[in-house]
Amino acid sequence: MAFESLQPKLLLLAAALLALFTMAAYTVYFERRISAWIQNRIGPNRVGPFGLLQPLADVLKLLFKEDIAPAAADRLLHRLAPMISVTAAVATIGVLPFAHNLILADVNIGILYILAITSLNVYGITLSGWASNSKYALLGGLRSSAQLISYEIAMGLAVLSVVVQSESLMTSQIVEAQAEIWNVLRNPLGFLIFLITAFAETNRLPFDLPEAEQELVAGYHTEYSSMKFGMFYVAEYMNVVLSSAVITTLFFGGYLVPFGHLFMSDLPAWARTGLEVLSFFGKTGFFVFVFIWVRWTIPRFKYNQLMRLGWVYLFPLAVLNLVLVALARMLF
Amino acid sequence: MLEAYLPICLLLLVALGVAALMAGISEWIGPRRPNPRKLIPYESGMDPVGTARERYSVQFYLIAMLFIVFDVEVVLLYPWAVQVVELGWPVFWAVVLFLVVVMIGDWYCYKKGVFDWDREARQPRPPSEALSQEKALPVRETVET
Amino acid sequence: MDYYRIAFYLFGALTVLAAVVVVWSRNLIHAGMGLLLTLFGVAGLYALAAADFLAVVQILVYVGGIVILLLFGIMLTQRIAGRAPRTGVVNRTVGALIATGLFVLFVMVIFSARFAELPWIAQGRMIDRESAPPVGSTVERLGQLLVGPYLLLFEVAALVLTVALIGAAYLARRSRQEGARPRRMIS
Repeated sequence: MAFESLQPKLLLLAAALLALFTMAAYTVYFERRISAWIQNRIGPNRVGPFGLLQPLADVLKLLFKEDIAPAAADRLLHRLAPMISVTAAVATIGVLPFAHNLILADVNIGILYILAITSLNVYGITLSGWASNSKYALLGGLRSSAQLISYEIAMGLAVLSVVVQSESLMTSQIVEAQAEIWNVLRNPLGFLIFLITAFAETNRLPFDLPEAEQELVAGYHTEYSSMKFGMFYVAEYMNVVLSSAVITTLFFGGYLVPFGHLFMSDLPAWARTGLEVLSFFGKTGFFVFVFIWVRWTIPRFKYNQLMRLGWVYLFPLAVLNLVLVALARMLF
Repeated sequence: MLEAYLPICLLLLVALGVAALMAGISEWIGPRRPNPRKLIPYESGMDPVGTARERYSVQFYLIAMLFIVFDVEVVLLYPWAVQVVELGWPVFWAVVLFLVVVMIGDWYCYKKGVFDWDREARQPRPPSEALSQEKALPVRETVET
Repeated sequence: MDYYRIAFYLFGALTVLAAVVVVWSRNLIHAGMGLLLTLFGVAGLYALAAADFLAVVQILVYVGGIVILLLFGIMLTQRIAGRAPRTGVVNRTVGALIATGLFVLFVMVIFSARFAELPWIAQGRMIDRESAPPVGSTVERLGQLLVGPYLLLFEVAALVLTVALIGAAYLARRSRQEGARPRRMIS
């Protein structure tokens, strides 16, 4: 492939990266504002109008903090762990369709690529826990990795049921297959299972055991400071944004504009693309809000409840859902 | 067809670069004033007791093993899932049989208490074991400052 | 040099260098991370060979699963507290002999085989990357074969995996009941 044909992709890559970092930073801001609102507090409102420059101030503050690693830590792995977390989060944007034909790489196995990259997250967490040589970190890391891999199976099965409906692994095809009716209406159980596993995979409440403050201090990133702590933090919020984007793509018609078939064909191409991008980010933003809302509403599970929920309830339920969806597909 | 993968390669490189940049900047800009007390692992303000290189419950290992088995089984289903209707009823029932066998494994693990993480907490420890555990606690190490 | 060649040599170099780390590193966890990179490089090579499904499965199962199991195993079985797990050098002579023997054997096989005459290569078509129409994914074809001629193996795979599962669960529980579990554990 010539360099010229790669140029639009490079532009898209830069734009997507910028969007991801901005959204992650402002998810932090909105989480603080919304949690304050839910708890009848004020929240950050000093830096800039409505405190809108708060994320920038946070980043600058983190940059000028001392970077400490325990003397007994494994220096190489201690440094590598946050890098793996950020890389795995950023690499997911490659196969997300932002609009019709607006996608970095529309590969044949798109949705499997997302699952595969997500499965790398576990290394950032296990390694940070082990390399820190601290008990809280080790416990947090172990718990978290066991949690991540437990919920990955149910997540894979929920994705499988979507694949059965769209008959393709390409993310663009999965979106196009929802032109008539969104998957959430045809496969509500699959959506519910995916939503729950997405909460578990992003370590968010009610599944935030790896960093359960009351018992584990800060879990796997107890021994991290400065921007390296910031990297875990950013990766967590990127994962929230990306999970919302994947939920949108799989179940809520991705970039498809609701009732778009009524008026979209009359619009010029640029307006159509713009509307689709807006629709994609609007839906994603809604699910980011759901993530925040749930966090400040539901209490944390105990670890035995978490493992039980994953293996004894969600996994058989996901298998059942797969069979039902396939049966419906065969009959109708 | 392979062309589609080129942006992914680029993306992986860019992602790695961004991560390295973030980690590098924090080490470069931040101040560096280490002292021995700062460099001990955090243990709620106390001097650390023993070490973090401790043996942990075998159940974590078991979960990892279960994960691999079920992961392989789920992966085997993807080639079927993209063409359910084309492959027809006999294959559908074959897959159902496959899933039944998988669920038998899950059911067995459930019955064996693999997913039961609080079983030990519910059983009181025999007094002899509790006693020997007290003895096994290592001497507290103090850090020279 | 086109991009594919560059990518091929990059992934090849990654695979080999990481494999060297696996062998040479004295820290078992570092060796495990080397294995992760090796398997990742192999996944890249699969993708370059147009085996897209295999590449992703390689990452999902090997990189995302097996290496985690290895790391858990290493962290679990280290006996001496307070020291990073290290590999000991054992049987250097025998190891060198076996390695050399295997190397010679592989080289002999590679140079004596006539790849061009192998049926699956002679009958296969070369993929012309510039002019060939976009080929569909290998997933469909795999599916037709997996539940067609190889249906029995597909079912047997489920059985074998379930047996492995039952064995693992049984062994882990038994050793605990016999009181063989270590006195002090954190969970």
